[in-house]
This record gives sequence, structure tokens and C-alpha cells, in this order.
Amino acid sequence: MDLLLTQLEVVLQGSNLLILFLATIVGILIGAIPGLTVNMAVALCVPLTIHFSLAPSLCMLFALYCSGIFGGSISAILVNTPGTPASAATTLDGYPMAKQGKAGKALRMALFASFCGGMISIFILIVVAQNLAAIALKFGPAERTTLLLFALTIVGVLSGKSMIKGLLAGSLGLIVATVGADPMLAVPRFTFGLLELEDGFSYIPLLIGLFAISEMFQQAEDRMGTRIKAVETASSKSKYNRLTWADIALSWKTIIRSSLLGTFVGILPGIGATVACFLGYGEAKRASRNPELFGQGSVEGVAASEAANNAVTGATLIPLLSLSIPGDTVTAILYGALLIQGVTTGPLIFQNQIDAVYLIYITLILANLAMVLVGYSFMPLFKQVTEIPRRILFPIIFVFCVIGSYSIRNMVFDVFVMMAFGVIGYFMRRGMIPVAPMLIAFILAQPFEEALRQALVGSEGHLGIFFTQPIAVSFLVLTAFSIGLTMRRNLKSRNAKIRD
Amino acid sequence: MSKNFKIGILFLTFALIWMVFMVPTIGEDWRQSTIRDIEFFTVSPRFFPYLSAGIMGILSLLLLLESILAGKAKEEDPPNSPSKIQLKPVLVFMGIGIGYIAALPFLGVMVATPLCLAACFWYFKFRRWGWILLLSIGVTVIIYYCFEKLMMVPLPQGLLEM
Repeated sequence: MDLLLTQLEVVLQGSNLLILFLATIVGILIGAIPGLTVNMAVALCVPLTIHFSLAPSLCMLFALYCSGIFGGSISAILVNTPGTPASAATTLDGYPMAKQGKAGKALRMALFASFCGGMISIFILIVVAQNLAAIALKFGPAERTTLLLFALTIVGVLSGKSMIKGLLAGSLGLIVATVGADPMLAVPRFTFGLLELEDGFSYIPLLIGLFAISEMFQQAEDRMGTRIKAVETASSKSKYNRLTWADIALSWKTIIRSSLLGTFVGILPGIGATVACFLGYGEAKRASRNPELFGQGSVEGVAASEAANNAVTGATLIPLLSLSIPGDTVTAILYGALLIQGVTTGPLIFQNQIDAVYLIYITLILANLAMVLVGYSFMPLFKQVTEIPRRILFPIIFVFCVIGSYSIRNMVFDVFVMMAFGVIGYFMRRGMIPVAPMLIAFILAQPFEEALRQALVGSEGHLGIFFTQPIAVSFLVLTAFSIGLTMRRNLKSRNAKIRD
Repeated sequence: MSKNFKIGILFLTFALIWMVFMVPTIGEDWRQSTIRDIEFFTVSPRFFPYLSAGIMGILSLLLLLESILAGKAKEEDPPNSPSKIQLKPVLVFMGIGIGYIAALPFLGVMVATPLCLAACFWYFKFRRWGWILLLSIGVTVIIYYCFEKLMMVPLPQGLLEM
């Protein structure tokens, strides 16, 4: 308890709160601008955390993460374009509400539901993560190998439309991760005598390239020329812009249901907030007394989508903290940021670095509170934000990416690495190959290789070790099951297409 | 040739090159550094790269097979597939970016950054010269102040160092 209070005291320092609120503002703005994503925002800010201690770093990154997801709903409601893919389902009812002059009500409901979703998932994170870690502590190399194999496979299988392409992206991540010193014997691999590659590719330039730079290249295709026009947030009738008790009474069940669904989706690696928002929306429509109003401007629809997508934010940290498995892109980026701060995720974190765990819980809760405060205070400004031209924003962001990558080790080499992965990421996107599995595989490659080689050394090269331990066998069965299920689903949808 | 077929070929080629030419470059000197008289089992540093490239090779073959089986049935070509998109602006943006990075050590951040920003603004048809000047210089000053002064990152000085 004392430790918890100490960490609370640390976070509540003036400078940390200032960073928290500034990051919340930036997160909402970035989320609100179509084309800028939460991934990009968090990736861009990771280089800054090198110069901070753990508390301000967490304040910055979690505030960006939570508020960025909510920010996506602003443009979904005002311009019918989700600022982040996670808010795609919000457009279905948010924009019709805005056209009816109820943009204020829709935005307030989005904010309220996002807050509830976030808080429910944090509560579940606190309850579940430590218990899961206690189980994971019993894992040996064989169990760890099969668990990581399961995580790698499921991320690849579920990340994109094509299972094979998702897995291909993962295999590319594994290959990229082999550059640098071998983790067990320190033998250099693929370094070509370059000192810069002795430790492998730097994580931050790689992720900035894959997510931010490749996104900018994609936006450059139309010379960043698409103009966006938002609807007015204010209505002549003020009652249209208030969130009433009647609205909350109508939506509270939906919010709780969607939050639980979002949390469940968040715990599973590789699925993410986009799927969660559609699942939450679909389930809310199915369970609603007025399903016919969905799509016409239903406040319940906005609540369902927003509660579900924000519920993912806390839940994705469950596998990250307890098993050291980043479930989606943002947690993969957060994993790197935590490593930079000397925080090693995994089951031992609850024994060795419990102060960091408390700090994570506290900053997550505060990030959600800051999101509500900032969201309500700055609501009238949202319309202007969504209309900022991309042709001005992207060159500025590009320059920040370059300097951010340079600042990691003060090497121009890292900036070229960023650019190279930006080009790779761009062509992967064009080929409909998801980039997230590549990053997650890059992160998981080293622990996977270590566990695999330790298991093989222990068994003197016999693969039987993976088929004799019950936990290892169950992970292998789960892996085969997830692949089989996805293949069956793909086959069914292809047959349906042919029939059509 | 369908898009997936081309992707399959590309990845298969990469995996083969990696296995045949790249992985053998990993030295085997570590074998000599083991204790002479004691024999113990260990796994070569080449093992994981071979495994990763092998997985990629198998997946590429599966993608090739899938695209062949799909045959003449139309693939899911999105409306903005590579054949329909404009690559020129992307290449120009890449060119400006690479030029900027290459120029950083010689021109320094204070000179290269406003030039890069102005070039991007101009190319993407934002041509209000007053704003271009203000934004290019303003952003550079903010970057310099934040990184060099607040975070103590020694940014490349280039021309200004002389």
C-alpha cells in the first residue's frame, strides 16, 4: 500500500501532470485528424521518452494512447471519416447524429463511453494480470517456446485479411530480428562489419519507419490533397448538445456489454480495437430494444462502438505485462518504450518491478480522467482540428520523425534505417500485407529464439520436449486450432464469393 | 500474373537468397572456443536464421499455390491497387526525404530542415510563400530548441560548425 501511495505521489508531481495533460491534448488532436493514427503518435513520442524517467514517459505514452483512440471518434462524428480505424463503427451513428444537429451530444456520449470502457478494462487488467503472471512463472523453455509460437501465429493469422500474408509479414520480422549479435553465443550475424548493426536494428527507427513513414508515403499518393469539411458542432437548440440522464439510462447496459467485449478482444493478441468496435456495435444492435434506430443516429450505437474500442486500451496490457507478449501495434511500441526505461515485462515484473506495475496502473487511470477533462474543455475546438490540411502537417511530422530517429543514438545511420523500413512498410501496405505482425515478430524473435534454443539444448536436440509437457502441448493445439479455424473461415468466405 | 503470385515470387526469392547466400556468412569460429575435452550439445547461431527463412519460403510457396488455385477468379483488388495509384508523388517525397537525410551531416539541421520543409510544401501544392517561410523557419527553431537545448541532443551542425 505504501508503495502504491509513493507511486501516486510521483505521478501527481506538477511536471508529470503537465506532461499528462499536454499528451492528452496532442493525442486527441492526432486521433481527430484523419490520416494520423494513434500508432503514429505513440511511435513518434517514444524517442522523447529516452530523455525522461519512467513516470513522465508513462504519462505521455498512456495519455496519447487512451486519448488518441477517443480522438478518432471526433472526425468520425464530424466529418464521417474515422480519425483512427478503431472508430470506424462510430461513423455509422455519429455522423447521422451530427447531421441532425446533435454533434455535441454524440461527442459527449463518445467521451463518456470511452471513459467507461477504459476504466472497466483497467479494473480487469488489475485483477487478471498478476494471476496470469503467477501461472506463467511455472513455464520452462519448452512452454515459453510454444506460448511465443502461439502468439506469433495468432498475430499473423488475425492481423490482415489473408492469413498467409500475415504470417509472411511475421516471418520477415523474424529474419530482420536475426541481424546483430546472436543472443546465446554473441556471434555476429549479418552485420557486414558495421558497428552500427552489432546490436541489431534499432527498435525505434524501425517502428517509426514501419508505421509513421509508410503511412505518410501512402498519404502522398494523392499529394495529400483531399480536403475535409466538418459539420458544425453547435446546434441552435442547446438541448441537442447535452448528454442527458435519459441518454445514459438508455445506454448504460450497452456500455458495460461493449466494454466487456472490448476487454475480451483486447486480451487476445492480434485483434485490436478496430474489430472490438464493430463487435461492440453489432452486439449492441442485436440486444437493443430499438435496433431499427441503429445507423440513423442512435446514441446507443455511438456508445457501443466507443466503449468497446477504449476497453481495448487496458486489456492489451494484460498479455504484455504478464506474459511479455504485445498483443497489438501500440503495445508493441509500448513494450519498446518500457524496455528503454529498464522495465522488463513478463511474469517476473510483479516480483522485481512492482513499483513500475503500480505506476502503469495509476497513469492509465489518470490518462482516462485527463481524457474526460480535456475532451469536455476543448470540445468547441474539435471542428477546426479536423480541417487542418495534411499537406502542411505531414512534412512537419516527417521532419520530427527524422530528428526523433537521429536522437536515439545520434547516428544518421538510424535515420536511413527508418527510411528503409518506411519504404518496406509502404510496399507492404500496397501489397495488402499487414505491417503489425512484422513489428510484433521482430519484438518476440529474441525471446523466442532463446527459449527454443534453451529447450533444444536441454533435450539435446530432441523435438519430443515440445510434445511431452502438457502446457506446451496445449499451446501447440491452440496454435493448430487457430490456424485451422482461420483456414476454414477463409474457405467458407471464398466459397460464398464464388457462389455470389 | 496476379498480385499475390508476384508477392509469393518476391518472398520466395528473398528466402532462397537468404538461405543460400546470407546465412552461410555467419562464422563458425565459436566452435573452436568451446572447451576441448568436454562434449556438450549446443545449437548453432545459424539455426534460427535458417528456420525463419525456411518458414518464409514455405509460406511463399503456399501463397503461390493459393494464387494459382484461385486461377482466373478475380482477386480482391482494392480500388486503389498499385496499378491505379500515383507512384510519382510518393517517389518524389521519398527523394526529398533521402536528400534531406543525406544532407543533414553537411548542411546541418538549421539549414537542411527549412529547405526540406519548403520543398515538401511546394511539391504538395501549398504555395503561400509567407506561410512557407514562417512554418519552415518556425518548425526548425522549435525542433532545435526542443532537441538541442531541452533534451541536450547534439544535432548535426554542418555548415554552422565551421
